[in-house]
Amino acid sequence: MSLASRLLRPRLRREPFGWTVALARPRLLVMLGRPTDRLDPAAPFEVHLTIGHRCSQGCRGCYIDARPDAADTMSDADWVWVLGRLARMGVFHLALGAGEDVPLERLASLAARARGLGMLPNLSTSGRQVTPRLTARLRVFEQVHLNLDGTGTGAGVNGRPPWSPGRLMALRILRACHPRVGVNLVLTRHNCDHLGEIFRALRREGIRSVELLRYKPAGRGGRDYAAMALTAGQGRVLVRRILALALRHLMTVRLDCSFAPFVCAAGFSPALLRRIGLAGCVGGSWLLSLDGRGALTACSFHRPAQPRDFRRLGGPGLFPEFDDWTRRAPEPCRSCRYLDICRGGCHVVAEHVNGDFFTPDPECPLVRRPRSNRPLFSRRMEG
Amino acid sequence: MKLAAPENSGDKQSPGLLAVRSGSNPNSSSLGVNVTWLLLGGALAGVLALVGGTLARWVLSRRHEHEPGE
Repeated sequence: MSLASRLLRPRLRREPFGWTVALARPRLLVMLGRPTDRLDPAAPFEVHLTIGHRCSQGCRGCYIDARPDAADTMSDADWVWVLGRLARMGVFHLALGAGEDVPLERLASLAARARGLGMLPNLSTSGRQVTPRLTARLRVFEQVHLNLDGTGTGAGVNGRPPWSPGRLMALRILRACHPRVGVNLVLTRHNCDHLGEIFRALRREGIRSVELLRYKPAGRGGRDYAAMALTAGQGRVLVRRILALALRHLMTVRLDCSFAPFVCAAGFSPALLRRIGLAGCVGGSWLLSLDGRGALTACSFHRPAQPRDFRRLGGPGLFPEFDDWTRRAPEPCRSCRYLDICRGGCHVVAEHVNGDFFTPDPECPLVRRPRSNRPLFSRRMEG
Repeated sequence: MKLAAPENSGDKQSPGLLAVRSGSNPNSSSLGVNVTWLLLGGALAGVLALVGGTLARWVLSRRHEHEPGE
């Protein structure tokens, strides 16, 4: 094996649009081929595994509705079968998570097996179990992100102070023992205006990687969604504000797929957004989700009436509603030049707010503003 | 599977770099994209597109040479 191969550890996968090259160092997914409106790969780039639902934290907005007495049906043997199947499908990345009562050692064991099969595992955790001894085992994960909701003494998303001494200690232990540690932060109307303060606090802790997530009306998160969702004013300026903060604090910021409408509405050209790999709702295409109850879903937040069984993993046509959305797109999405990138925004939000999966994301700034009321500048940028 | 070689390198449909996603998503609930690249605007994307496009055209033309009769 050449030095370059050992350093880059490239993996090549044939796609309907051409090829995907996955590099481990630097971590890149490079898509090559002939230009096409939709980049739909032959297999997911990434799969989210929620290993178990047991949790005694009782977080108010828990999207998986984790509980202390939650019953999971997936055994370790089932997960091992899943990992083998995903490796054969050519999946590149895994993101593992679980209720906080599920031992992190179990996740680390599965991650080690995933690595052995050539996939890169990542971890999201609230950090309750993190100790220096355990963190040595967590090095099997490519990257570890701690879930935080904000800073200061105000209540976070989950109804308790997010920057508790315990969380802070977990963050410091992880930072000391793992080379790639970041933070996941759920944005709501309550902490959105404190982003500057949050970024400053993270920088003080040496954090350089932040993933911002939109609050989702899934699990217990559906109860008070209206009180947590971003306001129209916050949504309009969100992306430019985040970019300014990223520059000021020299921070790498990732926005989750549900923020795609907000990025599109910031006025960047579709060509540029395609080049950085921005994707709106790519559930069932770029990503899949599997949970401890054996449910296979297009994304972690979608709760179909009849979830697909995990044994159907890799089968064709599992999520026709996700595949068909852009073909059936209603206005104003149908005539939006970002449709094939954004794909209508977050359908889980649309289904919760509008009662209809096949409606535009109601919080998209381009949907919220009637076209005739848009200032000239925006009309020009949105084509 | 066989790919046709580019007939005209100036053609808009000639193969090239379609997208580059940096990093790997550490979040286990949704798919994140690194938006920090937007700060660099199209400059870096343009350079990457040039390099990637050249690479893709070279790879595809090599394949075509080895798989005649398309």
